[in-house]
Amino acid sequence: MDAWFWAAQVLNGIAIGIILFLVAAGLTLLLGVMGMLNLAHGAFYMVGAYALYSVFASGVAGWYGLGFLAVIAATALVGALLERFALRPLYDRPPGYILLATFALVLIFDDLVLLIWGRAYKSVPPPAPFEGALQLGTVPFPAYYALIILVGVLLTLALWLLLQRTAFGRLIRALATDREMVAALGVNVSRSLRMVYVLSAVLAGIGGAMAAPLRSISSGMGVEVVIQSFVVVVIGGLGSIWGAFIGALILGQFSALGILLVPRFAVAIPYLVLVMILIWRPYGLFGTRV
Amino acid sequence: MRATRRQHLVGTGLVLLGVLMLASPPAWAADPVKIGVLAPLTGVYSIVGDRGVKGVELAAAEINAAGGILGRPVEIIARDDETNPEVALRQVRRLMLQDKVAAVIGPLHGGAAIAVSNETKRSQVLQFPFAAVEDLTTVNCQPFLWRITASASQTARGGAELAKRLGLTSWATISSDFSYGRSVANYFVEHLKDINPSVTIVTQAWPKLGEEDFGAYINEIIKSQAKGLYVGLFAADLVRFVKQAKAFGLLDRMTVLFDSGGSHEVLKTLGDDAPFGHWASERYNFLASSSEVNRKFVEAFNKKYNLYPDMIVYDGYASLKFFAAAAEKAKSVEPRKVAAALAGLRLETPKGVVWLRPEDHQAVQPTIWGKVQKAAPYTFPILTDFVIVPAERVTLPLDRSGQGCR
Repeated sequence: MDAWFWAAQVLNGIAIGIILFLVAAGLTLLLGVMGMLNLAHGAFYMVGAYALYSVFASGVAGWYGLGFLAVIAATALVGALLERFALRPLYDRPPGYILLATFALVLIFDDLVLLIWGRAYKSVPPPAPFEGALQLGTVPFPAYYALIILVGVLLTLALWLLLQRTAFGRLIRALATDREMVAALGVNVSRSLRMVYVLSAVLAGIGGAMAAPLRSISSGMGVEVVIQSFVVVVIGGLGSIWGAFIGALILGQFSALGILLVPRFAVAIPYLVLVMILIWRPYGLFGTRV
Repeated sequence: MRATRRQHLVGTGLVLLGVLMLASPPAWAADPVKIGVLAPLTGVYSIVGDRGVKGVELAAAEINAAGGILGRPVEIIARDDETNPEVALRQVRRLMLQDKVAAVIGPLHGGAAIAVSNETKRSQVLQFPFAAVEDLTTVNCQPFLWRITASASQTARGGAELAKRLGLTSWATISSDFSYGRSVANYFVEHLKDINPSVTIVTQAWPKLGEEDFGAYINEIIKSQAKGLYVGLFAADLVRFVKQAKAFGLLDRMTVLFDSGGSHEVLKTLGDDAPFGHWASERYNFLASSSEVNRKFVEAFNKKYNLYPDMIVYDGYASLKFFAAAAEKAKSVEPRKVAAALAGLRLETPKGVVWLRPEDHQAVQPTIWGKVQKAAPYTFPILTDFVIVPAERVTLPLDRSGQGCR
């Protein structure tokens, strides 16, 4: 009983960690490649969840699969528009401008969502085959968490292939190292930056859509997850995708197990981990010393 | 002789004025009695706040159609407290100083209600809070605050009575870690042990307000093998918890009691994911009473707003009705006199006959629990199979309430 119980908790933590990773990956990508601290990242998480809800509410068969196509399309579109009209004009200004602009976008998006979808919170069920619980030894484990873990691992692999094995990935890594040099080699830098931004938006949108069947969908739902993602990014090292992956899994475990071991301090645990990392390795687990 | 342009204008104006005077129902001779409503009108909780205002508006319309309060019309002024104690304080000052209201109904947020209570006490303006937080009628009891809304202890003690009736002997609780969440779980456990000493509480979980992932708590509750679970989670937290509890199969393993889980908003959001067959309480339920007063109230509200009234609608509606009845009895809207008339006042409301206890200013009323079910013609899950726990069993004994008023 006990071993299964702890195994279920660990898997639980992995599922939480994977959703966190999808959001944090985009955040750290933007930091690494563009040096941009994007507070509006949670907006994509929220847009993803609402897009899935819209497809669900339309009542089409196979809403979950179609919903994910809609999520990708919606977040890519919103991301591209934001990058072009709200952020690009600020690239040449000091970074504080982008910080302010993205904070303004957080507020704007929270209100836009209320205007479009109304004030009642929304809810989507898990897709039908994944509604109940599996039996993990002696303890129940939600089938949908298993789906999250599976899809999350596949997405992580795909992201790894994209970054390590494709021309686009090489370009991203080159941009992160020396943007001016890349420009001098004749690469259209501003188009590439937009693609990075869109990629990060889509990742967060998928994270929001995957979390939606387990959480409630409401205005402001992106705030908490972005704060946690910043913790993940700092733990992992600014700009490091692998750092974000490990950081998210660590944080997921701490939230799942911390609640059981030290319930009174569960809320503080992520931040304690953050402080310890900052003292011990201020550049993060996988960051490079500056 | 041709009339000048000015004469034309004056003439038209006079005719218009006449038409307006003819069209407006009773021509009020006296100044209106102004009632302020403080509720969240923006943000996530605005959907609840809006309903509270609608409840007060319906009561005002009924009172005005019947000749007003002491022959004076009632005027409602709603202000947004943004679910924030500081804003609520600013708004209540505005209501008192600028609008010169005779009474304030609200706020909904516990902390805001306590902050506003300090102000209404100082300025001697009547207040009828929406908030159910116990302190308002215990340590913070004050001469000008009277609560029609069912208190935290009334709901939770009613839950304990239901738990005893269900005959389950081991219980777990899960409740948000803030004052209101803590108090409902504590009142439940304490009263259950009082009335049924053989019961064991196997585990108590306190997730933070706004917790995203209840998985670890749910696993622990399942592991505890409790037969019953008492839930003190609200709004979006409750939606998340129910969905995750369902995913883990918790709802198939034990009987669950959701404190205030009859909220229409939560049940509408959950839809097919609602915890069918489990129990939920509601401070007022539109189906729980077959009285004529209730039938008329539900019908009038549904006709005016195309909505079924839920607990906050009732709270707002009944609060204004109590104020009006007390003012008529006192033959004055002067707060001291109205407060004196409120003490012990008994009124038939849509919930039933409710009276205000002079010692702690809490409305003594039964607690409504029902089973969550799907039933036509309602498009959202409703409560059925009501268990109505009588007022004298759920209301806190006087030695533990009204401390601030002694």
